[in-house]
Amino acid sequence: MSWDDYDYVIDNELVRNDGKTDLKAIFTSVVSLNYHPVTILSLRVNNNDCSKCPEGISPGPFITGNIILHTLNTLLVFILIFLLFRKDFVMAFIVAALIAVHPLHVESVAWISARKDVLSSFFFLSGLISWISYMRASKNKFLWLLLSFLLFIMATLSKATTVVFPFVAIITSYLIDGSPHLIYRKEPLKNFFSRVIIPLLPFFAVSLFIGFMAINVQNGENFLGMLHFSREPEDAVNAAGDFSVFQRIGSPVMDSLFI
Amino acid sequence: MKVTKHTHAHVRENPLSRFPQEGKATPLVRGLVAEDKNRGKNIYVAFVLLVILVLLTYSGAYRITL
Repeated sequence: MSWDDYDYVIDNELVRNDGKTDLKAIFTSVVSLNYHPVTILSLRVNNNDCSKCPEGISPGPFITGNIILHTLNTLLVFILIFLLFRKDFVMAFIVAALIAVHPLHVESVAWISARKDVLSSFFFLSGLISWISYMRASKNKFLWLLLSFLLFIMATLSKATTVVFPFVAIITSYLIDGSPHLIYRKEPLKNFFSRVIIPLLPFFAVSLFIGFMAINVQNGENFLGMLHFSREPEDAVNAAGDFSVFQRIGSPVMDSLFI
Repeated sequence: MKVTKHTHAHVRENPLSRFPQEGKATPLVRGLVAEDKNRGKNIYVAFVLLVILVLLTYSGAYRITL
């Protein structure tokens, strides 16, 4: 396996430098056209020296990290389905077991550079469970909301695609709060706005900010001079363009994604 | 109005269609929940099984080299 592994790990000074972890550099750097400092920090934790390995670094700790995160995600899916679908134990187990073994997740778990997928999923699922706890709690509601917000920020700093969280939270709120059939909801629409939409406003603000940043960075720009690239943007764009699997497939749709 | 009336009878005011925790559970539903005393224990067993599933599935991942 290689592909992005050179950009993310093998040739990445943020991960491999022998000195102290440079948090400032990690939180102001764009790696391979992505701003995901928490992911880079987690890869840094797995940095190691391996004299017998061809690249001087062992993949073992990275793969162990991914498997631990995938295991935690599987358990979080169990808890989420259990809470969402009226404590249906069998349904929660079947869904979580599918997540555990489904081949669709092999790329995210076995490929070191896909650490951002398993890590962002961990924060996303934890944030969603905290959101459900906020919706259901009769006391300490603010603490659950704060926890959900912090976990959501960690998710967006692990992978920008998690900006959809507030929309998922709205849908979840419909599911967990009484009858899923809108006509039977006990709660007037006005209350729904005050309990769900208004607390989600900071979430939407973060989503917009991170979304704008992701578009800016993906276009090879430095987000108003606040960030810098670990490699020249042109190199990263060329590396994405050399994605030979899709070129071999020859699909114009897939090719267009890498133009 | 007729549709709403029927829907009320079949769904909203029918205890069998309601979630037990909403406080209108039938004795049958209440009994099922009460019988499931091992639910907490079952969840721990499910967690262990899921961890084993993940480990079995991804034990081959260590063959990957950098």
